This record gives sequence, C-alpha cells and structure tokens, in this order.
Amino acid sequence: MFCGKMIFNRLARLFVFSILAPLAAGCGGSKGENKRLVGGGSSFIAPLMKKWSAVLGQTGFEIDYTSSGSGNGVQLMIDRKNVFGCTDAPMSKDQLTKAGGAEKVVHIPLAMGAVVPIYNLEKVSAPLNFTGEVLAGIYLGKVKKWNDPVLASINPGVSLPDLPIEIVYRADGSGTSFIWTDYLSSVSAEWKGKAGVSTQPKWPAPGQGAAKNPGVAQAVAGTPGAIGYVELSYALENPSLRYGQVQNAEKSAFVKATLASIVSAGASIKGIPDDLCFSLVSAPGKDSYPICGTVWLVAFKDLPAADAAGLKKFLQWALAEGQSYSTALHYGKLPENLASLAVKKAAAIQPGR
Amino acid sequence: MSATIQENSSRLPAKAEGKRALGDRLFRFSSLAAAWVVPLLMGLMVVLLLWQSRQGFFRFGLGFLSSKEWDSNQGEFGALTFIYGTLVTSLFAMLFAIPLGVGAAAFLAEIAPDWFRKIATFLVELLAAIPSVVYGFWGVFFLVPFMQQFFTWMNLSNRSGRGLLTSGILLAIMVVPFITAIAYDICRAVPASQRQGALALGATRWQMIWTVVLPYARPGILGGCFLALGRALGETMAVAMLIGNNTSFQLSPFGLGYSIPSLIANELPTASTDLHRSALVELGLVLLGVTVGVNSLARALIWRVERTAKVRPAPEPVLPIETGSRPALNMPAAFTTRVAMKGSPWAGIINQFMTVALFLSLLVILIPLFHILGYIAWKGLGDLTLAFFLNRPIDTPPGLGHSLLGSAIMVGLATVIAVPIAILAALFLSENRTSRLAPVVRFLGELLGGVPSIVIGIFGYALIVIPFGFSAYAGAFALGVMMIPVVMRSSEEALRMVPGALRNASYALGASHSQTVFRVILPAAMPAIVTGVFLGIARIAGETAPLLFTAYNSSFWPNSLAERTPFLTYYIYNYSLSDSLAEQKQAWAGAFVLLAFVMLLNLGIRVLAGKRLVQASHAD
Repeated sequence: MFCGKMIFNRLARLFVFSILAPLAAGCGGSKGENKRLVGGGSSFIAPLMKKWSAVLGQTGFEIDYTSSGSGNGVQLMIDRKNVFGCTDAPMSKDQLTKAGGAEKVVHIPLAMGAVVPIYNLEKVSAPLNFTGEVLAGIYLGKVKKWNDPVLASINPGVSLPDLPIEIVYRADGSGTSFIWTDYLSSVSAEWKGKAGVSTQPKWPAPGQGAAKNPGVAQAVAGTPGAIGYVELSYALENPSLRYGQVQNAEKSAFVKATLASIVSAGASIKGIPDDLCFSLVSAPGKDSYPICGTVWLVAFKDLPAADAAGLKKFLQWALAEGQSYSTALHYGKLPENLASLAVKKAAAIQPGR
Repeated sequence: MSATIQENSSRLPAKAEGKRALGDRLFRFSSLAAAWVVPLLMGLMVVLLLWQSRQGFFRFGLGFLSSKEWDSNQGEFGALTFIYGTLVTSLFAMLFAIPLGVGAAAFLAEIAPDWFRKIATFLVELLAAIPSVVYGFWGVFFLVPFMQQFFTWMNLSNRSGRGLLTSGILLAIMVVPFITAIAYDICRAVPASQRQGALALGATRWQMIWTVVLPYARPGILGGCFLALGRALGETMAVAMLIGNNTSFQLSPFGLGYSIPSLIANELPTASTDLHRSALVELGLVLLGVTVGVNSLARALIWRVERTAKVRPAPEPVLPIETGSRPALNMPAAFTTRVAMKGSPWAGIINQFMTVALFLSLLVILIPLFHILGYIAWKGLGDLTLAFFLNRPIDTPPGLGHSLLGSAIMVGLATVIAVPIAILAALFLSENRTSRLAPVVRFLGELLGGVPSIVIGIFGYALIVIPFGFSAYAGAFALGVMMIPVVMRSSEEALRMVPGALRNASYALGASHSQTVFRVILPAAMPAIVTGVFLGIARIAGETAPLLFTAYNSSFWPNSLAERTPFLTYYIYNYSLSDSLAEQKQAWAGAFVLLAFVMLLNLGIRVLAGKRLVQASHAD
C-alpha cells in the first residue's frame, strides 16, 4: 500500500509539474541565505511565538509560525511540510511510528503554561473554586447546574445561580485538550475509563465545540452559564472572562494560576526522562497549580542543511534570551536544569537531507 | 460554412493559406483541450477523493452512513450526526428562504414600479455577493445574542444561541438572494398574455400571481430553490462559526449540531491517523454526492421549463371567477383590479393584504443587507489605518498588509490561469454546438460550479499540497477550479448573443475560422465576458475554506509563489474569534476592505454590462 501511495504521488507530481513548470520558471523562488523557518501548531504558545517572531523579525530572521493546533503542527512536521511543530502533547505512538521511530525526532521544551477553567457567570464576582472531581463531573455531564451541592460545598459564601452548565470544548485536535484531559484522568478514574487522555477526545457530554483557544474564550464569553478551558494568557487577555482556582494535588488548598504557581509546578518535577517528555499535571507541592503543561517543539533530527542551521539558531536563542519574554506573557520560564538539557538535545539536530 | 472557408482560402497565396490553416488548427486544438479541462478536473476530483477515503470505505462500508459514533481515539467513525446536521440546517434555510425569496421575487416582478425594481434587484445582488466569512462574523455578533434571548424566552435547554436553528437562519439569509433572483427572472419570463387573460377574467393582482404566474413558473422556481439548497449544503465557514460543533448526536432542531463541511474544516487539518483522515475525506465525498444530486435535479427542472416554454402552449389557467366581475379587454391592470375589488370585497382585501405581505418579504430580505453593510462600514472604517495596509501582524502597530498582498496574488494568479481556459472552453461550446462533447462539458461545468468549496480544498490538497507542499500555486489552483465554471458559463452566454450576421460578414471578407473568432466574435462578446470574469473574481475573493488547505497562511510578506502564503479571509475568520480587541478591530477593517472590493466589482459589472449579476451566476 505504501508503495502504491508513492507511485501515485509521483504520478500526481508529474501531472502537476507539466502544468506549473513554465509558471514556476517565470518567477524563481528565493533560496537565499536567510531562509524562512516554517513551523506551526499549538495555539497555546502562539502569543509567545508571535512575540519571538516579532523580535527576531527585526534582525531579518523570519520564524513563520501559524497557530493551527498541536495536532496540525505535528502532522505537518511528520509530512515534512513544516520544519518544526509545536505541541502541548508529546507525540503519540502512532505519530512516532509514522515519523519512523522515536529516535528520529526530538522533543524540546520551550515554555510551561497553565490551563485554566473559564466560566461565564455574570453575578459571581469572586473567583470560584474547583476540584478535579468537580471538573471531571462537569465534563462527564454529571454536574449539570451551577448550584449543584458539590460546587456549593467548595464555594462557601458564594451564591451560585440556578443555571445549567454549558460545556465548551475544543473542536480541533488540541494540546490544550490533551493537558486538560491528562489532568482529568489523573484525578478521576471514571474520566480515565470513559474518555481518557487525548488531543481530540470523544467528549462524553454534549457541548459546544470551538476552534482553538480564542474560539473557546469567545464561546464562553458569549454564553451565560458556560464553562471552558483555555491557556492562561487567553483568559487574562479578555477582561470579561473569569477563571477559577483549582485544588492542588495534595488537596490542601485552592491555587490560582499565576506565574509563581506554574514555576512551582515546573520546579517540582523530579527525574526528567531522556526524551524530555514528562507530564506536569497534578504536580506535588502546596503552591503548585495542578493543570500545567509543557509546550514542546518537535522536529526531525535530520533536516536539510539550511533548515537545520536555522532551527538550531532559533532554539539557541529561544532557550536562552527568548526565555526572558515568557514572564510578561504569563508563561513559566523553563527551570535551569531543564533548559540546559533542552540545549543539549537541540544539538542532535543535524543537516542530513 | 466550411465550404465558404474552402472557397475563400483557395483564392489566397499558398503561404498565407498555410498560416491560416495552422491558426485554425491551433484554435481548434486549444479550444478542444480547454473543453476537456472541466471533465478532467471533475474526474480527477472524484478519483482522488475515492483514493484518499479508501481506508474508511473498506473498514466501515455502508455502516459509515448510519453510525452515530465518532471517536478518533477508538478509530470509530460514523457520519449520521453530521449528515443530520447538514440536512437539518439546510432544510431550515429552505423553510425560511423559499417563501421570502419567492414572495420578494413576485413583488419585484409583478407589483413594484420600474425604478424601485431596478434599485431592489441591485441590492438583492449585493446580498448574494457578500463573502460567507463576513456573514459568519455578523452572525456571531448579532444573530447569536439575538437567538440567545429567543432561546431563553422559549425556555429551551440550549442557552448558547448557537446551533442548528441559528445556522439555518443564517443560511437562509445567505441563499435567499439566489432564490429571489432566479424566481424573478422566471416570473418575468411568464408571457404577458397569461397575465392579461387572468386580469381580463376579473382576477385581482394577487389572484393573478397565485393562480397564474406562480404555477406557470413553478418548475423553474423549484430549480432555483434546489440550486440554493446545494449552496446551503456546502457552506462551511459561516456554519462552523454558528452551529456549535457538537459531536454527540442530538435530535432536537433547537440543539447544537455539526455539519459535514464544518467538521472537515475543524478536524482535517489536525487529524493524526490515516483512518481519521480517510473518514473525513469520505464525508467530503458524501457531501459531493449529495450536492451533485441536488444540482442535477435543479438543472433538469430548469431545463424542462426552458424547453416547455418554447414548445408547449401556455397551460390553461383555472380561475375562480367571481360573479359580477366583468371581462375587461385591453384595460390597464390597475383599472381591472379596481373592477374586481368592487365585485368581491374579500378578494380586494386579500389582494391588499398580500401586496403588503409580499413587500414585507422583500423588506425582510433587505434588512440584514443594510445591517451588515452599515455595521461593517461603521466599524471597519473607524479601524482602517495606513498601518493596516502596510504592516504585518508582528509589526507595531499591527496590520494585515501581507495578507492583502497574498490574497491579491492568489486571486490574480487564479484569474490568469482560469480565464483563458474558461473562455477557450466557452468558445468550444459556442462553436461546436453539435459536438457530442459539448453538452457533457456544459453539464459537468454546472456540477463543478456547485461543488462545495471545502471539497475543492481537499482536492487541491490531495493533488498539489501532498506532493509539493503549501504554496500560492496550490491556493490559486483551488480558486481557479472554482472560477472556471462561472466564467465558462457566462462567456458562453455572451458568445451566443453575438449576431450571426457578424460571423457571415467576416467569412465573406475572407477571414479564416480562427480569425473570425478572435477578431470578430470575441471582441463583440468582450464586455459581457469581462462581466463574467468580474463575477468569478467576486466569487473567489471571499473564499476561506479551500485556501486553508492549500495556501495555509504565513505571518510574513509573500516572497515566492512556491511558499505558503497569507490571505485576508484567514485573518477575518481567526481574528473574529479572537478576544483581543486589537485583533477584532483588524477583523472589522479586513471585512470592510473585502466587502468594499466585492461591491466595487459589482458596481463595475453594472457599469460595464448593465447585466443582472445573479442571472449570469447560475453556475454557482
């Protein structure tokens, strides 16, 4: 079958080339020194990427990043249509197999961030408290109203309205969904059994699907009684949105997603695995925010020479100087030890095609 | 005719004769080749879609159509939820659009004074030309909050304001201009003798419309409705913004749902397994099948009415003749109406009531137009700065100049590729009316014009992006495929209008076939052809879905046609979802620029040809 596909692709190439070759000859593509580095994926890291891209763009180094969702970023990287992809979920077994094995690709962490539950309740001004069980209950469709006793019991003194809960989730394959379901699975056996961890889970309860982080934020902002989940900076960007505090892993306190609580979660990871793929959800520590995630850059180790050089240059910058831009956009800087491991990993990228 | 050519050419020197024969051969060959492009594209599209969806076919068989399960993690894929969503939204759209559209057409054709008719038909055509992403944008900001109030008032469980009904209403607003335009044309084609006969028998104007004009025009109007249905079935971006994208099956028409095109737009770019991808392409194939079926039916109906109008005498109108009404020969309509009103007070009251009702249906159609135009002009003009045209999103202040350039490049390239092919194909159709290939090309051209844009996006992706990667070429290819049927159809109509005397005069002066075509017939038809080209440009300038799969987007100035390319509608779509105020402002400004461009094109069409826009765009 694979063979058939190749033959087919070759035929298609031949056919199209016969039409477009004269046109292509007319306007030569720029194959100069400063080749544009094309990548895409995670909308989670898009605000930071945009900043990086703007800063580097001043120097004539163009990082062309399109926020298209983690799933798309990885897919296009595997198809070698993107030099790099960004994803909030480590590549799945299927994806690694398609890429030719885990040893062919690198995962390089770029930043850490928090996913927060956002909601639209006009009359509730104090930030609501959530536990993992309650969030799982809501997304399983078992907690249906805002004044449900399980919500009331963890929010003493807050008058919760008698309003149905409208669930909003991501319609596209998303790393944010991966972090969210990773967290729900870590706290709820029922969630783990019914939906599991996925960039595109089968949602057990009916709800509104929206495209990317901005779409979820907009759908929640426009629907009274809605709940959704977005990366922290998207929640902060919209003043009409409120986001809740979530109970920490040791169940001792409700933690607000802040830089400090993200950094605390990041610092708590022990024994970083060789491939740098680790989970940050339900991180130990009293001050650790429990729904944190990492954004990885994924790329093939063997790249065309110009791409390899460009990507290494970009990574060197992003893992050092670039980290100073994280804080202003509410991303956690990488801990020192992780950053140095990441730099070592980046050295594995070599010109090879 | 060929005898004439032979005779003429025999008198010329051998050298010139050889050159002319070569010219004729070249013309014949190139027009034949161009005519084959449409069947080739159509065939290639079906083959590619079948190939890309083979896994799903073998795995699920026919059960694919009846299963509600959609779980990419378990590898379970069933299409029922999405087929249901697509059908229900389109049926809602038809439910609202048909009475309003036909009513407005009847008012324009039968009641409105001439000056009013001119203005109103122009406005209806403008409504048809607004890009769908602009409709979606408007829907998110106005229709959704409005429907939220309505749902709350109805005490429905769905409080989001989105869903099947909301999408259906927006689709109705989007397709009603097509119904109105086609119904108007067909009502105008009803012979005056039919009307006079009815009025002479003492019918009121409403009775005349209801018992004579509409029954006479029924098959044609039905055809127009099916065309509108085909368009509603394939709409992508506007529906994706409003339907709620809910993968679990819900029967309630007030609930949230999912349609085939919006599912493809959301999931195909991120699908990570081959099976998932092939299931999505299979859905595209289902969509293609349904729209092709609907379009064929529409063509058959319109074709029948066109043929019977020529051959068959008018059907006998069955009129309820009131007692006391007098036959009135050659009397002005207003006078007759008054006579009939005197005869039967009820008929008069109904007539007045229905006149008002028909006028109101026109008004209901035009209100969203004024709202959309007015609001976008108001919001967009305020946010239109120089930086918007000159900067990129990563600059300060941010702008969308790069995407304007990218869109212009792709639309331009598509035009350069598609127009010669389309005109040559149209020449083939008009010069070879007896050819057996001609009706096939014509029919497939109509079908290609009705293929949903998202399916064309998948086609472009499979044909060009898989082997070569994202590029302006791929984007231009997808746009070109959409443009060819529009230009081909309008060009053929234009070429047919050229009087035969011109051709004969040209031959009489000793011109060859190709000389006649290129020096006489084509120039004569040129204004109308240019109109068709403008129409095609207006159609593709607002496209989003096919470019998502072919051009991909970029944050930088385009520097090569072989690289991924930014486009304006990408930013309108994404920024309209954004919660950042700065990005929303740019979305408004972008929508305004796009709308202004399309409206200028429409005005250009008016000025150039004075021809009605939608009439020529039946190929859509």
